[in-house]
Amino acid sequence: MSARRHSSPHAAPAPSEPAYDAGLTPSLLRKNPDDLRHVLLGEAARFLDAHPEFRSPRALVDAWNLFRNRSRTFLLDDFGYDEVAARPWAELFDFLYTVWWRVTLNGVENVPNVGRALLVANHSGVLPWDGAMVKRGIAREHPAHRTARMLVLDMFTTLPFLQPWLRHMGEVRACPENGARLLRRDELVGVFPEGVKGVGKLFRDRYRLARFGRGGFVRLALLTGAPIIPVAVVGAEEIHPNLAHMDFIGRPLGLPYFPLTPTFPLLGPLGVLPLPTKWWIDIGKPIAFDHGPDVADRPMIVNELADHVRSTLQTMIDSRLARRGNLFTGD
Amino acid sequence: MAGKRDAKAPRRNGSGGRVVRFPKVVNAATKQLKVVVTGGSGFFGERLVRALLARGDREVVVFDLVPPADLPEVKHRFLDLNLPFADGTLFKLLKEEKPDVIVHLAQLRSPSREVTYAHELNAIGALHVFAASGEARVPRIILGSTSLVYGARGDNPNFLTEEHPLLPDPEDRFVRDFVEAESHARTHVRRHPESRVQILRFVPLLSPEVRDYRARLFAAPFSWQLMGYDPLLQALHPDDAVDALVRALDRPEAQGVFNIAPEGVVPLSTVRLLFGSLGIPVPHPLGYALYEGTWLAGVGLMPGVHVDYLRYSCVVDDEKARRVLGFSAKHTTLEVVLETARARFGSGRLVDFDAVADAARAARYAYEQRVRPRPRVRAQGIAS
Repeated sequence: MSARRHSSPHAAPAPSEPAYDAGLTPSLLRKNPDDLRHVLLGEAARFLDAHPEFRSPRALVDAWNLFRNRSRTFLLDDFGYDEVAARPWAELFDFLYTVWWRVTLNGVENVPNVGRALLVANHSGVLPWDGAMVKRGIAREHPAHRTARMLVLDMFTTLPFLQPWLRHMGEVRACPENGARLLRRDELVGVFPEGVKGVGKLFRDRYRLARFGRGGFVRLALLTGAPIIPVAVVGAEEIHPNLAHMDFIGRPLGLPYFPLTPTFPLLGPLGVLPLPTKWWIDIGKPIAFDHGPDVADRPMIVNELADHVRSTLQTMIDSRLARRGNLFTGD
Repeated sequence: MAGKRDAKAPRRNGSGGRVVRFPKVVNAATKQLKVVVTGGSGFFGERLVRALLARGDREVVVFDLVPPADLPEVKHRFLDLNLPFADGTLFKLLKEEKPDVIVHLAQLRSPSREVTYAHELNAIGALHVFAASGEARVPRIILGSTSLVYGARGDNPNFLTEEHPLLPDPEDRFVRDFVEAESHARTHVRRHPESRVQILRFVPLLSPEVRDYRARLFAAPFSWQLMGYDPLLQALHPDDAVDALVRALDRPEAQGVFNIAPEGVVPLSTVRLLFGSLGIPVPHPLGYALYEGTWLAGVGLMPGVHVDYLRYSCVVDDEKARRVLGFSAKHTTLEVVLETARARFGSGRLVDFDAVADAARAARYAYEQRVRPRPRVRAQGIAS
């Protein structure tokens, strides 16, 4: 508490207080400037004396700003992650995780308790719910409750409203600089190398991994010495069966794709509701490369390593698909 | 000239020519260095002059329109960089003074409606300085630039390094003038490979005394806020900026571009909260129009194109300055914003500044834990 805030002139009257003067008579006598305020403002001035924190006109703006930022804290990390503001959202993700999609998470012991690691997952489902579920699953079931920092596509991180929200949730824009900075800080980082091609893929191409970008994730792992942990998500392909791309709508809106699903845009906003399929998330054994950071500048070897990761992930997906029964119950 | 020059040292010019490197020179001179500060009567320049005088190991000459206030002991020479042949005048002055270093800080650090004046000073002024220094064989030049030169873009990485290309909006003449000044520095290095140039890209300053456009925007009772956008900002304390300049002066062998930034970031919404400034939410295309309209009407603080900096982050990485210059800012961004808000609008507020100060201390502790190299301690007696 600052001393200044509570030192109202009326709180401690000077011992030699002059006689009462309303402040309207021109006089050379010393007078209390607050008395003029009392004459002009009356009850409001008495309120301000009782509540010195309202004396600045900015106090009203403060009330609004404090309300607007009521869930935020000042303890951001340098990517803008606000752990406290992100906490209430866990309940929504828990509902989706346990009730809506009934996620079964296998192999969480392959995620290290401390130290850097790069999660590499397949991407699907039109909206990036798979990233949220991988993150929530590790936070729930891992013994160290690690927070995976997901690298998010540009198309989501530049959208208004979504951009500040994603930042508070701890996600960062997908680019090599951000990934390297997080990994050098010994964080757990999640990437979806398929990118837009994966999340917006058609229903007929489900569970067929698209091209793995330009192998940037391998370069990242080589430069930072982080092991790559493959993560296969099965069940997310069917939450929004993407029958066709309606580019004649998406292009003018600047969207990379505009999906046509059995429910969207037919049912309007209701069509954004994902189908309650049964999900499996399988976390594979860490893949450690026996190459040094110098290999990051050799694109052919990088591409070969990326293909190795891709085939490992495809095998994991295929084996889970073979064992999966009913789409919705999993039996 | 003191020191042995190794002119045949390889000049590495990597990553698109953004990083300028110079032959390594060992400065063996122990005599008192003579420093010329252009713009030494301005807010920033005067602080630098004061800091150099306080150390007392340097001779300082100020080139400016007026002598610095309250510093009668400093030698002042009149120089108007806006005159068409200012380079000739500057050349004569440099021939007379024979400085070892020239620090160029004569710049406007806010957008100006006098576009021609601002361009003549910020861009052409730097051209004059480099031209005259090249002719007068001034061995070292330090150019004060700004971190805004990278441009605020949605596809920026969260931390911009010195190698990142400079991609501001080409219509943003205020920022473009700084980019042009840096291009003059690169040309100078090409023409005079033996000279040593340091470019310091300062994050915009903030303190209770700073009155640039950004400080005035934060302090305004209200301003337009782009709906759905909340960029991360950095704010540098002037003392830290001066410290970085002094360190650059002390390290002639450290050449090239340096980002000078504090630890930590603060979202614009938090700055508004601490200053008690109301952000009136408007859709972002309307926001650009409103800022441009108020700018043209003569009451706005910045032109519409500059609103990118209220939309996207332009946060820079100070790792290179930390490593090469040994610079680390004493004040974090949150501390700078908090102390400025408290000093200017601290009384009669609902915001509990003491609680924010506690949070700032906690954040500083977290940064120090992260930045300081600490030994890995393995826990004993615990089964893993």
